[in-house]
Amino acid sequence: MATPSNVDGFRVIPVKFRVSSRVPHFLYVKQHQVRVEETEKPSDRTLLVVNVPPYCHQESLRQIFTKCGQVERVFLHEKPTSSWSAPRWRHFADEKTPKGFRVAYVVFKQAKSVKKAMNLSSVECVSLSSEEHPLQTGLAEWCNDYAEGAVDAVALQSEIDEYFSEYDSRVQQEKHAAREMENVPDEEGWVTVSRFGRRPVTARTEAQQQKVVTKERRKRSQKELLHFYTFQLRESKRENLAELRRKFEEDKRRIAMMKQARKFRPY
Amino acid sequence: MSSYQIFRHALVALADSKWDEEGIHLHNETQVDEHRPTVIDHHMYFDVVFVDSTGYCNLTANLSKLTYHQARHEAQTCMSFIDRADLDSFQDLFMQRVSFYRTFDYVIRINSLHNRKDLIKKCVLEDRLMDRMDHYGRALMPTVIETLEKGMHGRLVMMAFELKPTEEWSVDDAPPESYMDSPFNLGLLVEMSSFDGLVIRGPPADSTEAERFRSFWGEKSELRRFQDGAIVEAVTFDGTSVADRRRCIEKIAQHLLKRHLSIDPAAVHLIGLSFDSLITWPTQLPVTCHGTGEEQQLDVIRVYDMLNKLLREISGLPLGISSISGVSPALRATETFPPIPVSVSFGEIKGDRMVPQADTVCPPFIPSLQVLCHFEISGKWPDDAEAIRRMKAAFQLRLAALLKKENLVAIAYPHCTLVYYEGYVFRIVVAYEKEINVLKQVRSPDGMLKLVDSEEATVLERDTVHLPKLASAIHGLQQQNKCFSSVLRLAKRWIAANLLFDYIKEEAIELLVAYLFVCPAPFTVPGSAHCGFQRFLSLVANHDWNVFPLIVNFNNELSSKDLAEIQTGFTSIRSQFPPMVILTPYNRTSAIWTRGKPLASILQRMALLARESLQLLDETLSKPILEEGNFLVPFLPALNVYDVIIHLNVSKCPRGYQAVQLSPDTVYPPALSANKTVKQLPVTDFDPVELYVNALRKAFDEVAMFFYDPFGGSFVAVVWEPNAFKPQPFKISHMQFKMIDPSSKGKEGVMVIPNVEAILEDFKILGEGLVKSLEIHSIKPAI
Repeated sequence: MATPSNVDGFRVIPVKFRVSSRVPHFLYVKQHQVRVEETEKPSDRTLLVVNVPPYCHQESLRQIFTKCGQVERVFLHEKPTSSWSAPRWRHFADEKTPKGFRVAYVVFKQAKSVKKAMNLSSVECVSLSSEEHPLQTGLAEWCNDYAEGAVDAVALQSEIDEYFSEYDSRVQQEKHAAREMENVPDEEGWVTVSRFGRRPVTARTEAQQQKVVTKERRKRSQKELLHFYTFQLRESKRENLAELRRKFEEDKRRIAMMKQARKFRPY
Repeated sequence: MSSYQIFRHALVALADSKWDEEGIHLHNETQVDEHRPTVIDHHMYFDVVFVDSTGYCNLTANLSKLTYHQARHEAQTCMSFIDRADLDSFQDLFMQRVSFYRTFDYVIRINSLHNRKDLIKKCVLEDRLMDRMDHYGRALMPTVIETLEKGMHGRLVMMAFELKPTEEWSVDDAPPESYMDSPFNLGLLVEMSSFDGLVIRGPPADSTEAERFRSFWGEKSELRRFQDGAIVEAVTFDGTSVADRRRCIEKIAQHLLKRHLSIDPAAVHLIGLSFDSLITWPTQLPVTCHGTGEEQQLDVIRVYDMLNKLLREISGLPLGISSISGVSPALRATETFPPIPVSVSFGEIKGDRMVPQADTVCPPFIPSLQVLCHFEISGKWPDDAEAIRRMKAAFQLRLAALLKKENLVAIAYPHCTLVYYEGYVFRIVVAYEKEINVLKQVRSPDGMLKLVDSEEATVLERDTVHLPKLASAIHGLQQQNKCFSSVLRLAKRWIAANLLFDYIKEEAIELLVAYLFVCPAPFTVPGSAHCGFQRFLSLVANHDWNVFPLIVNFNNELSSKDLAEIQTGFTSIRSQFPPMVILTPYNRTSAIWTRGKPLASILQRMALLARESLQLLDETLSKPILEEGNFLVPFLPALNVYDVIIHLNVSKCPRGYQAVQLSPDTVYPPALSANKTVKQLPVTDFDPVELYVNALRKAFDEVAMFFYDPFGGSFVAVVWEPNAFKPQPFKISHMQFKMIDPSSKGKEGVMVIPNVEAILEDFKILGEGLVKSLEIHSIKPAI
């Protein structure tokens, strides 16, 4: 039975790796629709493509969809996402080009191209790798990846320098702002202290807090009289009993487990 | 006295006894009986003396000296374990079946002797044969043992004779052939420091003993002058590699038994070296010493030490180096196949490094050896995770520039520096201790800084704090025990050969083997790869991971109180731990080496495979005729359980020479040429097979599991994931590699299923140039 051409509002487009490939994968395409509009992916001109095979590049998607009109940009993501920001730092980018099966967003120049794309043939197989635009996979791709892994020391150094000049000015600014705000009360009269002020304060960390709390507790326990009031005696007795019970239960559980684990069963 | 106390006393008495020299008796000496023989009289006729209350009957009359020594040795070992808190001594001492081949480091097997009657005549042992009721083995044994003990003096801790139950036969029949003549086994516990010595120094040439020494060793004995000036009789054996030296005891046994008992050398075998072939370098490899790689490992460590020195002497870094630790297995001699030095560059020159090319010969596999470099703490380090990353990269750049000044090939990357040094590539990684804390810091809404465990911080802590500690503990263990490294390498080889290597962390395997050396109960510390490997299999097969964590108590750092605490902590929160739990003094409460890997199913499979392998080995060893080929069987995986087998082009697998069975197409790395200077960084860490499997996993992780042998495997085995094959409703986020189920047109709407035909084609497309063919057993999961 033939595959239906439309599913759930998606157009089904079969694609093959090359002409001689036997079995196609299916791209599912649909107009991009989101509640929050993004400037890079305007919903009227953007096509969402699902199930993009691992060997399919931006260039090959461009090839497929130029039939419907000029393509402005192609985005590839691991998961459907509406946001996108250009990676600023080349050497410290979190996201490398996603591998595996992905989703793509194809942004056309004109809105009518999207409609055209929705009417692409779902019978005719498109091949991704052609004579003019061969796709690299396997050994050739890995060799290519290896070559592209080169890092230029000068470029890296200048990127680091750029980051640090920015970082230093940011830190400086923070310091400056903190000094400015010293002893300046806000509308409710509170004063914010920081470690950059004239009289630095200790950082507010969990460890610090813990220290203070234990110190307080120790102080209080020194002052406290033990086993003085009747209720204290009663409470400590009750606690002892509870502790005993808990230990007994624990031991029981442990013995049960040991019995279960024992391989030696003489009777 | 409690029964335990009586048992303990009996053991102590046996452990300290000397019944072969000063026998004991039970009779009352105040009763005078002039006919009663003294203990000394008994010693004249018996090896071991323990006289009963009458004073006439030696209870141990039929006990051979060797068996008595073995019992005494067992008592001594038992005593050393019985008080240890880190062992479940009852379980280990009483509940485990102790196999002969797992107890002894080496076993000398003497096969059926065709000339046994002549032998008895020659040695004038007719009386003894009659005493032993025509059991030739038992009649000849004392002579054989006496000869061997003399010849192997100083090499052995103990020798023991394997006792086998005698089979029954009808009174009317003659005893079966197997009774009179079955192969007999002698177990050897060797002295690790001296058992493989190539030279036996005899008495000075002019002394009276020289004649005796000469007549004992025969033509092997020759007059030699040693470096200290002494001229003595000596026996020498040839051998260059460590592997050859281990054969020494076999050579001694064959020579002496031939000389004194005319036993054919072909009938004398040393069992204990059968697995060496798995970690032996093929002769085509350009290494100086074709042994089992011990020499190569020492060479890697030697070069690493040189690099270490160089790094410490380097000047011009903004901060001093506080510590350097090599964390790659090769730097603690535990890599199954240590790297081979390469100097010839392969591929195309691009800037300061070589780049592989798809259409030419695949460059040899050069692993980079990771070295962690901690710098001194300074207030100038930034306290922001992103900034620390940049700062570390700046350090890498500076380090690479300084190394270049030393005329080394060094390239900086944001995360590491690769440096080519004396034939090896090292990966130097800058680490900063505070980074872990910075990564953990989270500011809560009320402005407080909290430390929260994050995935990234945990991984960083494991790799920069725990790994160096573990590496040095393992390296220490390796230096104490000569054969630790070979047992470990075999263990890794076995797991890899069974295609499970990347489903378990390498450190976990190292800890499993380390446990055998730290807690060898009920045995002594393994002295050969053969017995160590069998014990490893038995540990994997029998450990109950659900109830007990495996605690590797390095240097006895954990006291019995600590151990009890760990055990109770473990029991109460078992479900929060991964299926396999290995704890050490450095990670008492968290199973950092087994988190995430292995999965319960993999652990179960490993145990099953270990059980089967062990059974197979036991069968092979119990057969009278030893078939060396059978020892390889546990290392050959059964492929019929997998759904698809992807066969690879062996000529494109640079690690092909590490395979269990070599193929004729295997490529070997080229020889090291001494006078060629390397100007470009060779192709590093480029293993097409690994890259292929990674690409497959990245794309088809949800639909299948991929198994392969990183050590020269020439195929990838695939198992379909049953859950992925259930028809699912159409959903954007789950449409990868799916097609519309043509049969679904019901009420539930359109359903989708994996596009198996296309996936199979993708297997070929993704590995173009590497994949040879697909062998499809099933296009659906078995269940």
